[in-house]
Amino acid sequence: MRGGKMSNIFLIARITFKECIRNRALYGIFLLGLLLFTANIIITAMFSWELGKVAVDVGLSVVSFSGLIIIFFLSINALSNDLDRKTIYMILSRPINRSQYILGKYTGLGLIILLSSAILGICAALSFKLATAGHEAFIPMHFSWPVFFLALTYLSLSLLVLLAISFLWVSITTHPFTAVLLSMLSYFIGQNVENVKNMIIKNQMFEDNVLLIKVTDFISWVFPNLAAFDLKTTAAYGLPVNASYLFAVAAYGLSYIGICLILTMMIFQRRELA
Amino acid sequence: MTRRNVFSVILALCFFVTFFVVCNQAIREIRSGLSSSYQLNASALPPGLFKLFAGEFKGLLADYLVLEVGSVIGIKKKIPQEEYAKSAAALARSLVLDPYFQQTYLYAQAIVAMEGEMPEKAMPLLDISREQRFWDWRPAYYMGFDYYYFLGDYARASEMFFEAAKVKHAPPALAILGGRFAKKGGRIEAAIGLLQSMLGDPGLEEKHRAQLSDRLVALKGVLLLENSIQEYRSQYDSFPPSLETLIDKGLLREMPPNPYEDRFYYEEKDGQVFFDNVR
Repeated sequence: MRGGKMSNIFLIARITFKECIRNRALYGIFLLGLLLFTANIIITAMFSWELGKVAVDVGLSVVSFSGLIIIFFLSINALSNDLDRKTIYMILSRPINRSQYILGKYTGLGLIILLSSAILGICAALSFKLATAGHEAFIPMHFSWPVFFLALTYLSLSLLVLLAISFLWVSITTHPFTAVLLSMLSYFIGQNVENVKNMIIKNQMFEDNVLLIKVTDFISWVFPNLAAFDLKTTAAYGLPVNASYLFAVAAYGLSYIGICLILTMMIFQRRELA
Repeated sequence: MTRRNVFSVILALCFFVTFFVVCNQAIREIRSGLSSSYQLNASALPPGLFKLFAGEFKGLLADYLVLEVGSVIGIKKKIPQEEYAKSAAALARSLVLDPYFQQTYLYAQAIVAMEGEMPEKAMPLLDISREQRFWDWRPAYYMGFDYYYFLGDYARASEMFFEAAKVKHAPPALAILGGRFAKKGGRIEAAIGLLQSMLGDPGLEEKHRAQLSDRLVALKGVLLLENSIQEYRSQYDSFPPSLETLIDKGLLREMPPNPYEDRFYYEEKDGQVFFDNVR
């Protein structure tokens, strides 16, 4: 029985993955990879010191940017289109329940994000090599490839967290555009909530504003702290990494994804699809 | 499509292409006159806002700001003084986004401190890099230079040179330089302590150990002589006419060794002792 459930999830995941490939989204990503190659070499050449740092900045930022595009414009549409075009009936008329559908969709789209991160991550690494070829003295002293790939992994994990919260928004809202807006808002809040919270706590002006402090604290618990996954600077300079911090962030990300998917499944179970 | 229609389409296309080329050329000419001061607007925004909007792309934005500042020195015409202040503000914002970037502090020193002669604006930027780039001796070295060259604060210059010298793989000559400024800034005892702790490093190369030892011996000699001079002054209410007087009066048993010269230099007017004739 459990095997059947799992195979249903993988079936949906496979279909979703193939759909996205057929959507030619990956061609766009390959194109972006090629552009990244050229752009990284040109941009890096504009600097005189620590070229490696600039190459890592550009490379990992493109990986992140393309992941965001996939989530906002491909993933949310893939899920919303099933609801809008009623193709979901074809799926749910088979022995597949709504939870399996959600998990399958998430797995398929998550794989697309991981594939894109892997392709662009390799492009970023190659462009780094090209941009810094002959300028080895201008690579930051402590730069290391394991830290670079660690940053890439955590960047992908942050994209998976954002994908999970965008699934939640699709399940709550009735229109894909609203879901895209709410997902973008979640991304913006997730990137800055820690920064804003620190600014409010440290600023004496807000010292007596207990309500504001409590609201900010509440928001920091509700929205994911995406800044915690950002290891681009660490990778660029090869700064020391704390194993317990990495473990905590990974566990935080995975648990956030779990909570979002469970809530999505619960809301989706009760949703009127007609 | 009739021949007439084809002719109309070609005519319309020619019309639009002509306007496009003429207008684009005009725009290019108008914009080519804009100096980089026009582009350096980023300094008007508060640093916190930059961080807020940059999000995870803060490294990229920091790079962009540094490039923007670079464009200021790229232009050939004379750069107005306020442009240096704007550059300092843009570099400060860049450091908020990425406090580690080497090019930012190098620009702070080269453009703001040296070209713009605004060390007071460059110093806080260098200080951020000094704190964050714990593996890099240069920010502290530049700060030491600015304290010496622009501000004439030898004590702080010495402190910074020693700070730079303590960084792993830093040239030991920095400690020697720190020792010289310590003498000028009246911080000889602190300098002796720092040199002694550096000599305690087992990883120090023999050549550098010898150089540091020489500076330590010279500073110890200066300290001994200056202490004896103060003792003389408290007894006779004047500075001694020469260093040999200290031996004659029984305040000093013998002249301390000076590894650089065969004697110490003495200035009677203020009782200062130097290990060489550089002032």
